[in-house]
Formats: sequence, structure tokens, C-alpha cells
Amino acid sequence: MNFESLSPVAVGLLLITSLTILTSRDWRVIIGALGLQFLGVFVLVAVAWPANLAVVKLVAGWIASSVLGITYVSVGIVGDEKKIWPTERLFRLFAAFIILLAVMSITPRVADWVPNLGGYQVAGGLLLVGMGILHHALTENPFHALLSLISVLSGFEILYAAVETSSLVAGLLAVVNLGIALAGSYLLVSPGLEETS
Amino acid sequence: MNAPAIWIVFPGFIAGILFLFRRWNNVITYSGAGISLLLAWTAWQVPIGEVLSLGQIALKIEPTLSIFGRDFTLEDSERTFLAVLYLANTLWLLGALIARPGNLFVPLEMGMMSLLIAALAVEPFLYAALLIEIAALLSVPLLASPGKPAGRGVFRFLTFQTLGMPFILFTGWMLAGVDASPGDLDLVVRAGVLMGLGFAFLLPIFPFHSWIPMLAREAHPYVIGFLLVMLPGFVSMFGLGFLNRYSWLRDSEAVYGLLRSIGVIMVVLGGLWAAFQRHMASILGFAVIIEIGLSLLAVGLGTSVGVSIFFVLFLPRTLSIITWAIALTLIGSRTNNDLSFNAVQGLGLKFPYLAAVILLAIFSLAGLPILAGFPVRFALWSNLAAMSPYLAIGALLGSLGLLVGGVRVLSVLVVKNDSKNHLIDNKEDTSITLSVDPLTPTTQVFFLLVGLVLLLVGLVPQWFLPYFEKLSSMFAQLAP
Repeated sequence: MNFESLSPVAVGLLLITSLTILTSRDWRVIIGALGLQFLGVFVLVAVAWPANLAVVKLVAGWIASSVLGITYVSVGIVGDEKKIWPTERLFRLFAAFIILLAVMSITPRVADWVPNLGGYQVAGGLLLVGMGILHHALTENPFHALLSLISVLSGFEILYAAVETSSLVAGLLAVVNLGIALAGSYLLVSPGLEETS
Repeated sequence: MNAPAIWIVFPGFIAGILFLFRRWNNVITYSGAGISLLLAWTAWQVPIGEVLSLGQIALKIEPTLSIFGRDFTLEDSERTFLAVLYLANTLWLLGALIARPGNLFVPLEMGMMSLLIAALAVEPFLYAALLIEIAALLSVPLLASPGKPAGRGVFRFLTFQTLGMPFILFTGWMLAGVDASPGDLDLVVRAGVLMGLGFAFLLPIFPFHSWIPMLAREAHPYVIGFLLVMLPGFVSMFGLGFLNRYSWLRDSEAVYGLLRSIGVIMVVLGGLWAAFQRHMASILGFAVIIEIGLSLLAVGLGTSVGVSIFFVLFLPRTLSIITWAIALTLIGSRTNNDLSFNAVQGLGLKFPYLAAVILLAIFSLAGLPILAGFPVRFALWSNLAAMSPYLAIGALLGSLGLLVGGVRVLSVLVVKNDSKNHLIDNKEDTSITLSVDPLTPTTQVFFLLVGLVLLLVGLVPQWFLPYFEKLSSMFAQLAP
């Protein structure tokens, strides 16, 4: 399968999903968008890696999304789905637009620095890193903070895939992704757990 | 048989087993401490890469283990380090019998040690960033106690550790390019900036240190003590690995100048903050920031003596922080876990033993003569003064700040405030529940022994410190 030809679609998918995660308050939509985001990550990683290795990203990402989704349902996090003001959504979209402009302006330069990295991979990677950092900066909610960290890490994985194809690194990065989701889940559920000595 | 299987895989496996039996806290703590002591003894006695005769059996421990085409290597020169590390680990596990940081502490602590040692053994060594991140993730359940909402410190810790890892991994790729074409100044600058940012997040270096005092207030004092000794210790050794491997870094005066500048900033600011804190655990956090700064200053000397000082700092740091953390836990058990000055006021009169132990630890880290921290600090101050008096003054200011913090702790602990009941008037948001019996005979013996060692190291440093100086041989290029 020629993943290179799918790269523009993947970048578009990453843009839509990251905007959705940034602006939505419905956890179902957010988890769904995160799952789709990993599909885009998989396509961009598969440009540099064999598909059977790149699929590790997809599986790990989907498991991480599921863990966060299940946690959300099981603890019934309160105060998160509060109504978002139109002005706040507008502000977030405007901030995202600035990130998009920054990504577009630095993509060619970064592509020059890293010889094996295609323009779409750079754009996709930087987009996720930028949106993730923006999301992290705009939230105090632990659930959203974890989502943003996972997004940043996914963006990095796209960029790093071009320079490193080791199976050990693929495995360790998958462990890190799952670890963030599990550690985050623990932090979300720990208030409801019984105290132990 | 190979060395990584003994000192990395086996303790990792044991961590898993201990996790399954976590209900029996005392059993797993004694088992973990026993196994850790055995590993320390093995590291001390059993050579790596040489044939060992056990009666009829000839045994050779190979230095390398391969996993997915990547090597984990523990050389014979690293045996002393392994022995010291597992000895320190034993002490941390035995301390847990008094501090009771929860039934997850022992398995997760063993797991973290296994991962952190793996981080120093992996080749290419840049993959260490991934293993350090996994170790940091493993510590999260220890930092947020069940039944209480997680504080902001733990999220900030998680964020900074996660953000640091990509910088280090990318640096690794860039450094390969720098090795190939050292004349490419743009590439060198890019690699340097990425590496600097990576270590600033991981170590942490000012201004990314904010999670330390936050976490110190939120988490169990013993857990935070362990984390703040081990994590920065391993990350700074990982940083030494960079200097050891890349001659363009090792030979660059700008790199050492930067390390000295950042180090002195951290020591001065850490000292200033420690002097003005009103929370006992925060002072511990800032003491660790001073320690990180001192380590940077030691490496920044750019000499083999500096590398030796870097390793020698490890002994007083571990002994002081372990004692301090246990004492804070015991005080917290009497104040509903509130370690603010308001809550602990006058407690030194009720528990003079605890007050003495805390002051011993603080003053040792401040470098007060006859205590364990003094000889190594004196060596560092002397070397800094020979290089630049301003650096020495900065380092002294940091110690002075911690000393002032210690004197304030003393005044708070021994001045009685009858107008308040610290068990009820608890305004701080505390996130932990401790259930320990202060000053049991075991506790007193533990404190007595550690206190004695803190004094002995200060009085006769030549008995102890040469073992730690020897650790610098791991970095042959830096300490030839």
C-alpha cells in the first residue's frame, strides 16, 4: 500500500481531529477524535516504517484512547462537560489558526534539516506537537492535560519515525503512550479509591 | 548468564512478584531489602567478564544482553556503582518499614531501579530517555495517594518528564550528524539547544524546576525523598554520558561555562527560596534543587576532580534526605499530614529526637562542619574559588540560605504556640494519610545509625569517600 499518497489526507485528518479535541467538551467526541488521530499518525509513520511496525502506533494509540474513555465512564468525571462559551471556542480556534500558520511557516525549514522527512510528515508532526502544547496550556482539567500530552507525543513519533526505525524504540514508545494513559487513568480514579496504609 | 539479567531483569521480575504480594507489606519490604542487599553483595564480589570457579563449575558473567537487536551492557568498571546503588536501595527499602509510604512503594521502587539501571546500560545510550520516562510514569501511583485528588505537582512532573524525552531522542540523531561533520556550526548549535532543553526538562533545571516544591507539598515525604534523590541522580549521570562520549562537548569551554552558570543560579535561588519557606517539605524540595545545582557546578569544573566530587555528593545527599524524609513522615503523622510551619510549631519539644534528626539532615546538606556534607562541599568550594570567587560565593550563599531555612525550622519546632491545636486547625490541603507510630525502638535505632554515619562521614571522610570517588572511573574520558 502506498502510504505516501495518503499523507495529505492524514494531515487533514490530524488537523480536524486536533481541532475537535481542542474545542469539544463531549468526551465521546473527544475519544473518537483521538482514535481517528492515531489513524492519521499510523499513515504518516507508515511512510517511513514498514506497515507491520507502524501498526504498533495505531494499536497502542487505540488502547490508550480506550483506557482513557473507560476511565472517564467509570469515574463519571464531573464539571468537565460544562457548556463552553462561543467566545472561548472562537478564541481556541483563533489560537489554533496561529499554530497552523507557525507550522506552515517552519515546515519547509524542518524538512530541510531532516533529510528523510517528507513535508507532510513534518506538517503532521508539528501540527500535533503545536496543538498539543496549545491544548495543554489552555486546560486545567487532568483529562484534557493527558490528552494533550498524548497528542504532543504522537506528533513527536511522526517526526522521529523518519530517523529511527528500531523495533525496541517502537516498543518503548508504545509503552510510554500506554503508560501515560494508565498513569493518567490512575490519577483520575485515585480520588475514588480507598485509602491504604 | 549475563550482568544485565542479574542487575536489571531479575530485580524487574522481583518487582512484579512483589506487586502480586503487596497485601503483605512487611513481607515484601523485608524480601525486597534482602534481595537488594544480595544484589549489592553480588555486585561487590562477582567480576563481570571473567571466569569464576565455583568448585567444579566455571561461570562467566557476560557484560551484554541483547533485546530486539539493541544491547544492554554493564561493564566490570560499573560494579562499584551497582553495589553502591543497591546498598542505597536497601536503605530506602528498610526506611519504608518506618515511613510506611504505602503497599505499592516496594514493588514500584524496585521496578524503577531496574528501569533506571537499564537506562544507563542501554546502547545506543540515548534510548535511556525512554526508560527514564517509563520509570517516571511508574512513580505516578506513588505520588498520588488513593482517596485524594491528584495535585497539580504530579501533572506538572508528568508533563515535564514527557516533554524532555523527545528533545533527548532527537539530540541523539543530531549528534550522529555532528560526529560525522563537526565543522557544521548550525548543526552543533541545534543539537546543543535540543540537548539543553531536554536536560532542563528532565533534571530539572531552572526554570523547569517548579514541580519539585509543588510535589514535595503534595506527595508522601518518603516517596518524594526517594524520587528526588534517584531521578535527578540518574538523569545527571546520563548527562555525564554525553560529555564522556562526545569530544566536541567535552572539549568545549562554553559547555562547562554554561553548566557553572546554571549550577550557581540553581544553588543561589534554591538557597534563597529555602530560607523563606514556611513548609517543611518545600524546604526539602529546595534542598534538592541546591543539590542539583551543586552537581552541575561539580561537573562544570571540567576536571576529573569535579567528576569525583559529583559522585561523592551522592553519599551525604542520600543519607540526609532519607533521614529527613522519614522524620517528616513521622511529624506528619502527628499533624494530620500538615507540614506547614503553623502546624508543626512546638513539636520539637514533644519529639526532640525528630527535631534533632531533621536539623542534622538540613545542616549536613547545608555543609556545616563535622557533618557528612561538609568535606565534599569544602572541596567543591575550594575548586570553585580557584576558578572564580563569584562562583564560590554563589555556592556559599546557597548553603547559607539552606542554613537559614534550618534555623527557621529549629525556631518553629522549639517555640511552643499554646493558642492553637495543630490537629484541628489544619488549613493546608493535604493529600496523604500516614499511619505510623513515631519513635518506636526500630525508628530510634535507624535514626541513631544514620545519624552516626552522617557524623562519621563528616569527621573521618577518608573512610567512606574513596569508594565514591572510584565511581568516576565509569566515565573514562572525563576522569582518566
